[in-house]
Amino acid sequence: MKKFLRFLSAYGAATIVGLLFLLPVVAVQANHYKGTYPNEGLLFMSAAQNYSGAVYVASNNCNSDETGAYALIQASTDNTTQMARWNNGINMVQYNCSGTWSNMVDLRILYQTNHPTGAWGENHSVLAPSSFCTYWNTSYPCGMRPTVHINRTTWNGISSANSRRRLIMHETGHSHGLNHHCTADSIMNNGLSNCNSGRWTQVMSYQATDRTGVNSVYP
Amino acid sequence: MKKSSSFGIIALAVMLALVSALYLSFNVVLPDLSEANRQKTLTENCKNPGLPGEGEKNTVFDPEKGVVYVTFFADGADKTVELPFKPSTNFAGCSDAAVEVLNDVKANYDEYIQQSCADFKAILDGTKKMEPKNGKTPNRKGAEEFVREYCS
Repeated sequence: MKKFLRFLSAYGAATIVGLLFLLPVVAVQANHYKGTYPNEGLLFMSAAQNYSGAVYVASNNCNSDETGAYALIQASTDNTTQMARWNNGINMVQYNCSGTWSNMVDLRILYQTNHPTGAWGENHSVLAPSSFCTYWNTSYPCGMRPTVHINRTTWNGISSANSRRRLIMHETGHSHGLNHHCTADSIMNNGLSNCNSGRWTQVMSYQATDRTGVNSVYP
Repeated sequence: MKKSSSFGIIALAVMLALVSALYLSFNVVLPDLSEANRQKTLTENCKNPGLPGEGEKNTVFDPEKGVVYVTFFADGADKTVELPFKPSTNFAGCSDAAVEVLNDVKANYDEYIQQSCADFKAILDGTKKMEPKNGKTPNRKGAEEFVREYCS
């Protein structure tokens, strides 16, 4: 009986202590992470490539709102406390305007006329095959090959440059490994009234919570 | 003897507590190692994925495991459902909503393979140079492996 009581008290105490340590960590992860996927994010953002942060983009509709979004992303991730490992923040570079995959491309943006779900944008990633990892002299798994699908009909109907840039920042944020985030201002709010009260329309850069999220995606 | 007995009890309690804390924190279902059960879950998910009609549906496709993780926003938070990827059956047994998403994933994947094949083949036959990126020199062996595995 004594042994059992001893066991029970040790178990109870250790569980409480464990929860106190783990719950805040999980809460942060649940807000920023994309989830239990095989391997998040982009190879050239990761430790395998020394956190270079260089992201080469292929788009089938290169435009100034895209490059405007890249500039806003870099300005809000460069020289920040949360993303100190990246010397130049997230540096997105327009690589080709055909929207075609190549070994040099990290992320693709495709503008689609007949977008299936009617959403403004979506993110579809494929886990990079092991041969791609070999090509860049690293081990498998080594990240994702994401395509951002932008609803072209919606895009053409958006009159505000800020809104278009915000959409690019949000969707490419998913490519970097971020989930929707609704408990604070974030580029990863989704604009709905039940996500941070629709405050997404007030956000024009990566917020601290987004930078914390990116930092968490790349251990 | 008594001391080591107490130590053993406490050590066991702490280990069990850690597992419990992890379970409660992550709300993780301790993995069922039965492949049959896993396939059954995937099949059921595809029949009733719970996908909303409208709205963003982001996907991650793992070709090696043959599964697609679909994330969508519902009730104020992101939810994820895991679907089996079986294009050879035309995604038989899946709901219309799931089939729509899986066809999108297939089209995206086919494009990735087709365009990457063209790129790597051009590198191997010399019509395109292997370029370094951020000071990193690529390895031709990776191009050979990719073409061997994916390109007819």
